[in-house]
Amino acid sequence: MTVALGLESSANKIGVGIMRHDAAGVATVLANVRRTYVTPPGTGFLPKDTAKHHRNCVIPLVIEALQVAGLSVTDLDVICFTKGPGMGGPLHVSALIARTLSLLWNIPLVGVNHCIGHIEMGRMITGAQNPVVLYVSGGNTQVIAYAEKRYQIFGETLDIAIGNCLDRFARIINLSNDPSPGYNIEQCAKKGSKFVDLPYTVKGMDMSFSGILSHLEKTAKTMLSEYSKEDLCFSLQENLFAMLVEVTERAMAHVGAREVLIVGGVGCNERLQEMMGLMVQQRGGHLFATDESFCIDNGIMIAQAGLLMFKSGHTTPLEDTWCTQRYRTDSVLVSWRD
Amino acid sequence: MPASIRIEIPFDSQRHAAVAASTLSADKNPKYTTMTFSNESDSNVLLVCIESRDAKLLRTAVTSIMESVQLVSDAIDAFK
Repeated sequence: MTVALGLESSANKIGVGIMRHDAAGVATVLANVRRTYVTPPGTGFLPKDTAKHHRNCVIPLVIEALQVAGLSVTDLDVICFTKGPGMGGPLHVSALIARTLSLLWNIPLVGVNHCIGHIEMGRMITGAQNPVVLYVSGGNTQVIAYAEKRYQIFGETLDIAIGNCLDRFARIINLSNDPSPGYNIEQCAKKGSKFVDLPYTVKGMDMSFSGILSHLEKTAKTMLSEYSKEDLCFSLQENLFAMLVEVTERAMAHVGAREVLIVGGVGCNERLQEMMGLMVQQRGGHLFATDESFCIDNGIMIAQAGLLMFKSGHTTPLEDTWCTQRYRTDSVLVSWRD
Repeated sequence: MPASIRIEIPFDSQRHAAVAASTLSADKNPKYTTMTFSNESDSNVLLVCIESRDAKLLRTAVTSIMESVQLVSDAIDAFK
């Protein structure tokens, strides 16, 4: 039996998770707690304030996780934290706590790639065998498939993440950021009906979103005289999600996959799941998605990925526990899979 | 480098000061700044030495590191 603590703070959420793998490799979530830093409507979260929020939350959050799991620090076999990618200051908070706990109680450390955390948690929760993974969040947009011990990136955003486009659009129309701008866009879109044409920018296996955002920044005010906020939210979702469906289908065709797994915060969106589901069904395949406790950044996914790494013999020496804003998904050797 | 500072922070014990020093040493240096963390053996004092290209960078580094020292100190207290 092995127990891992996972710490995640790459953006505006800070999460602590505790995962146990028994001798047969059966995984159990012992705790998964999280706090979100929400800013007023029309604003986004800035690195310094976000890091400060995380510094204030992290210790009570770790204590809470241990309480929920009914464990103490000495019961932990490994401490896992997000090494990257993400925002430097916020990431650093998890790293400092991880190192301190490790040194106080002589527990090994594992630095985890955030994207791989999402993938491994998605695989564990849904049981998907070998899916094409669509990883969509505020910070990342990638189409991934596993091949030869790497999570290969088949397609990605050429500029900003899709979630970033959505979040910044929410600011333009002054939607609340509570619980998240994306959630509020989704609810708003349900009441929209008039479709307005927006730029559609798929480039082969890749996508571009900053042009769509610039277009919205320039034309939203004039569009709002003819269309409602609800219509704009509806149109943007239909447009963006169709782009995601196209590139995912292209990847499926390329690798001959019959499964699609959606991970990342934008993966919570039920309209995206619906549109993707229609495409996957047409191809005779199966769509896997998770609920918001695992879609949205969380600590348990870091514990899960970290535990897989640890069990395959990998630990991170202290001098390598620095954090990095850029960390490519395909740069990690996936030693725990065939 | 022209701007430098030496900060001594007492901890409860030599062991705790050593934990703090090791934790803080693992980060890469910011631009145009070098930071070293140590505690002399048998000393419960964490020694932080920072050298920067200019006073403004030094001030930024000091603010940032003191936030980190505070967090590490709180964590040691909470989980010792």
